[in-house]
Amino acid sequence: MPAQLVPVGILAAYVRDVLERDPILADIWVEGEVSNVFRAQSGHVYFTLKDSDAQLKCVLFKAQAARQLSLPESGQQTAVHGNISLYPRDGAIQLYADVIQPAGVGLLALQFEQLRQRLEADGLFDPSRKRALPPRPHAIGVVTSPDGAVWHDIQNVLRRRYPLVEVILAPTAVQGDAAPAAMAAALDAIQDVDRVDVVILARGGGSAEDLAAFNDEYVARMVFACRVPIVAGVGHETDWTIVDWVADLRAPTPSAAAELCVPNIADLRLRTEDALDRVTLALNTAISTATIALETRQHRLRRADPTQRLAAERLVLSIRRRRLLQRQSDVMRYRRAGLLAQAGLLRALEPHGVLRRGYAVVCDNITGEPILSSSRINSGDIVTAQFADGSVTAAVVSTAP
Amino acid sequence: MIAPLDIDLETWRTALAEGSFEDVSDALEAVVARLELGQLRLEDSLLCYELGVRLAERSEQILASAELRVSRLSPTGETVEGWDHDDEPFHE
Repeated sequence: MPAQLVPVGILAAYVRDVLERDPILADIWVEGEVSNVFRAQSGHVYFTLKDSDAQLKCVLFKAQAARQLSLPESGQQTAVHGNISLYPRDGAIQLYADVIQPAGVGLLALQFEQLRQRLEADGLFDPSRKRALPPRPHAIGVVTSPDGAVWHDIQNVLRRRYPLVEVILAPTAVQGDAAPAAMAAALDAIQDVDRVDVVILARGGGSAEDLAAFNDEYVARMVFACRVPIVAGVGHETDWTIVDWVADLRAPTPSAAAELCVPNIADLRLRTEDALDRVTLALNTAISTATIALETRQHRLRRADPTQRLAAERLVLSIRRRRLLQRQSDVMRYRRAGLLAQAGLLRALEPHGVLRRGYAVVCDNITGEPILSSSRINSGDIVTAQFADGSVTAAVVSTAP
Repeated sequence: MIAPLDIDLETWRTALAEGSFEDVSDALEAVVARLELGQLRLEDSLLCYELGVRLAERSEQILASAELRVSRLSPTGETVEGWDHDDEPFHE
């Protein structure tokens, strides 16, 4: 007889607990061939991992699936990270997956990928959290090894480009088991120096193992929490570490990191020269403006001078007088010409024979104009009688009617 | 339309005498801007010009004589001038 009768449900729950409490099964990397991949409408991905001896059901929930660089592919040899549990509903043991990594990659790379995803989810890579570097830093903190070319190169770059700055080394091991803790301590200490306004975290090129400290989670979180902007200059251009993603700025090499932190003294010199040119130009402009203003005032003054005006007005006056006299003499000439013309006219009428026939024309004594009516003449008037061969001046005795 | 010299001569002269490169550089920029704005009495224009030239010379002097200051943090947190290779690096 059984000692105790256990319902299936209770047993399933118990098995599940046992599985979930086991430390190995709670955090495990499993390798096998993928088959039976099924993508549900919910977004969850169900598949099987198998080898020649066994097979294991796996599920990759939608949230985790979204973070993967690649999804499980049938026939592909794959490493899957997750935890083992029992799904009571169908009594199946399953691997609840959170990282999918096609095979052919070492364990280091697998752990790297796992950490990368976790830190990304925690927001350590968030672009909006990245800070701008100060344009003219006062002091640069450098966290790197005191030995080797890196510290040397950084100093050279700074000396050449921007000797105005101060640079402070926080020396530390950059590889080996003790490196992560040492780097964290150095980062902590360099931030404490108030005048430091930017930090460079650097190391030279090396193998993946050599760079391991820069993939350390604690170091990454220290970099994220740094008081001032931090520039990562790790290894060569193609080397990417977790720290490269977390830093405010990533440089391809340590020397490049130093360059990015400071302005170039050559540019500063150019700006000073430019300022000098502008100041000279501005002064020349000011001088010409003042000169023009002065000349204008002088000109206006000359034009307003009273003696000048007097001479000008006298001149105008004399011109006017001359013109007036000219006009008067012209008028006289025209009148005389008029008179002569009329006298001429009179004589010109002669061919019509009036005077030749013995008639005389009575004219005004002064104007010479013919008097055409007796009503125009009064007794006592002096008139001129014009004959064909001469004229007679006569006094009027009487008129009729 | 001649405006009075509405600029901070005091600040600029101080920058020239005892300012850092940044102070001198900022003062020079301010002098240039004011001079370019125009509408100054001629004497004030000359004043600004001269000050500008001297600031530019001072700025160049600072750059020419600058030497990179290198120091090192020891595990106790003190900065040490110069760099002695034998000193201990950080460790846990």
